[in-house]
Amino acid sequence: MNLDEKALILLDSFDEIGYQKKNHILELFDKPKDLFNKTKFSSKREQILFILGEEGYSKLLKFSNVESADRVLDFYSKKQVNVITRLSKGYSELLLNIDSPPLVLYYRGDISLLSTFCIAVVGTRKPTSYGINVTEKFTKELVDYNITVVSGLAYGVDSVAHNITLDNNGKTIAVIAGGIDEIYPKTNLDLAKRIIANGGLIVSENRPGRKVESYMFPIRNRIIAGLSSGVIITEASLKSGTMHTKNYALDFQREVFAVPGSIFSESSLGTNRIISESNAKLVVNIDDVLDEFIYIKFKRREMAPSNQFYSNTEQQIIDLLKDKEMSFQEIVEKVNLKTSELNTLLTKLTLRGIIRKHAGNVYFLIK
Amino acid sequence: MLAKVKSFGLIGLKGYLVDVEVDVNRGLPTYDIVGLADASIKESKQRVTSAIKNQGYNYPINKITINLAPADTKKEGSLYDLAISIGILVASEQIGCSKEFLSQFAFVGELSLDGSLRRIKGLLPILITARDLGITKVFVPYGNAKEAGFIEGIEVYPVKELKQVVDFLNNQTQIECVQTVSYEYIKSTRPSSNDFAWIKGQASAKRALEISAAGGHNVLLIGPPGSGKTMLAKAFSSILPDMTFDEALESTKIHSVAGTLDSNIGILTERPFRSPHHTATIVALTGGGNKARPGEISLAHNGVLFLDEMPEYNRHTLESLRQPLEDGVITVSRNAITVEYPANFILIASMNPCPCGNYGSDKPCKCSPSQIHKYLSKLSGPLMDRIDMLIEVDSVKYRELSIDTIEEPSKDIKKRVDFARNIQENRYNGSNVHSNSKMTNEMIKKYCKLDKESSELLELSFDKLKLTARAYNRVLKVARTIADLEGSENITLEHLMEAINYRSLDNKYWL
Repeated sequence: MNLDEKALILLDSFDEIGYQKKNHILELFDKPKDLFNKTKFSSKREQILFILGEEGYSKLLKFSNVESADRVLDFYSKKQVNVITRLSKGYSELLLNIDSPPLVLYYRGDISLLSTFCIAVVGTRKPTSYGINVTEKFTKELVDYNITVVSGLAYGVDSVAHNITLDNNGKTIAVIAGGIDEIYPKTNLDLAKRIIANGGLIVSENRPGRKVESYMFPIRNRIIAGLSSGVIITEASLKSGTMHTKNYALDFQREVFAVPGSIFSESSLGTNRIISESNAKLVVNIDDVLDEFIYIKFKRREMAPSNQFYSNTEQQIIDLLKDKEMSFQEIVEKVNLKTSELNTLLTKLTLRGIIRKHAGNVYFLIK
Repeated sequence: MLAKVKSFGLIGLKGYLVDVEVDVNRGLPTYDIVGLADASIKESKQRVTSAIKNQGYNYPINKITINLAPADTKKEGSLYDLAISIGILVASEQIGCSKEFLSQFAFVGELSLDGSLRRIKGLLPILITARDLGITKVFVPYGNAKEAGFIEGIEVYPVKELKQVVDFLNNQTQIECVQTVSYEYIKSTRPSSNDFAWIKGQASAKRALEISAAGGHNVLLIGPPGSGKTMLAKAFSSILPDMTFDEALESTKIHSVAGTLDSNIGILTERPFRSPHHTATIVALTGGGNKARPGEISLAHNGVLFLDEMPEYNRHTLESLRQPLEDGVITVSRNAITVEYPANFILIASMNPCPCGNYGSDKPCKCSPSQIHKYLSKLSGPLMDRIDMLIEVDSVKYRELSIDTIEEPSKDIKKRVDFARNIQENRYNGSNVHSNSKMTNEMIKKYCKLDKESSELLELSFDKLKLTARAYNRVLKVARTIADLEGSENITLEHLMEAINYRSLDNKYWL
């Protein structure tokens, strides 16, 4: 690791200096490693004082040396967290092109995923069965084309996207808001471990140990948009945080795709709106997405021909659920089965990944 | 002169013999009670004095000393009134019976100022103790007569006033003993108060409750407000197997001590259904207070404890249920006494899926995902460990309410439950386990054998549905009950699948 990279890592470890100020300081010097050079550092005293104030200046002065940088690196490696700076090889080219690329990315997992073709799948944290279905469909198809799926490890659509990618042996990147060892929400800790164990990647621009705060989420969304060539929004209400991701993606000139929903569904108001405002392309299947990247040749994974055999009663249930989701009670009234038999059958179909149960004892078909 | 009269005290659910010794002697008129009597016994002076006078006898103007032996046990309650007044009347020679004759009898009852007798708490355990000690004749207040009708081998004399007792002892009248009543007769004449036939729809919840009743499994019902969770829980008692006489007696003892027994019947014929409010304290639930009274969980013994809106309960209160859920007994210790009350019940809990209650229903839910998650995680892991089945109740649509389908009545469901319980009784014969839910780990290994296909499926489903390891034994136990309901010797794939369906809620809500 060269001195420039070390300088970036050291500078990034200061919590009290914000992203803007860090960049201002770096702009003062020809090379980041000049931070370690006492004469060059003191020659910029006035400007640094102007940016940081008395206290910040003296602190920076005290710690800006190679030894401190090594100590910081040592600390990270003890925590088993890897670092990559925006000067390093392997840093995402796409991310470098945005106007505010993170100085340093902290990560666990396979960093080479940053250089693969990435599409983000994002949406509401409280999806309806429709939203889950849509997310699942698009995620599966992305994986079929060996595209890396990027998302934010939040509740809802994010979790579905990560989970489905892993279920289908795809690669996924989770961009999280807090420090790499501060998984939020905590319930997704297992999912995070699963991502790493299956050759995925978890990245954050905040140093390890940094507690997650609410302001970090929208800022994090710029990385999701920045890393990806396109963003698919599967379900989002008007006020969803997903709208940040969309705005960033538009700023960065990424492709934005949205899946339309029912006009009566509050959860689809956001996606419908951005489509109507021509901020996003309406997509109904993966081809609509891939059409925007004609310059890339995608290769579909060899699929084992699906040999699904359904018994008469199974077929009956599948037909029932074709048009709409149904509660257990509705199904039991339509089929000529005992409650216990239906229970068994529904579990069977769930385990085979054909239907899924949603809140309120409602079942829906996975399309 | 000195008189000795037998009476009884109570510690928890056990009675013990108390000798009431009354000494009437010359001296300044006083009335002293010794033998660690509490305030309600000390106050007996006023009741006894007035009662004796108002019944037309003379209250001796002498020095009266009363000793309650054994003198080192704390005594409480008003049930010694009758024994004390008989003692005074004998000692002042207004009753002229021999000591031997008197010693055959025991007396319990509270006196009213006019000399009539009032109902007391905890008669049933007292009578059982009396019979065991060989005291076969007991005078009890008339209001308690029904409670006495179920115990054989003892003569119980129900009396309305003091005069009756005195006349009897003076051999001037006869009192008719309480006739023993057959428990079977009482049981069969009691109509059930709720019925599954009154609940429209909810096929899946009904089936789940049937399984719960058949195997004694604890249940958590989850559903939006107004979906019928409470109604389902209340009707649950109607599909439980009938109480055996021993069970009824056991439960009646507790209710007798707590004073919650219906005096018109005198014995519990239906399994108790207790639904303490969510503001209930730990003591109210588990028992205690300075008198170490039984709590709601003991009152629910052999029946159902229903906790409506479970997350609203105080966390510590809920955690206190963990040990009794495991052991079936609760030990209540207070400074002077330690009492063990049985607490073997089926827990039925209900909750909304989220704070506003509408998540998963037709109405829009206003809660954030983290709020929903927080709400669901109010129930701690160890507590959830003890709940076998998580059942989702559909939100009821108007259409479902209005259709004229005929729902299956409770008595038909109960037949299947009885059938499954029978199988279990035979299987666990000789051990202290009576239902599948109480199976030990060895028993699970022995009775829940899976074939290769089934165990593979179970593994797959844990992976797919992301069930926790703790759900494993629960699934097996529930599968065992489902197999029993069908009279099947082995657990088949179908049984297992259905059982898994009652756990699939574990992970779903935070997807």
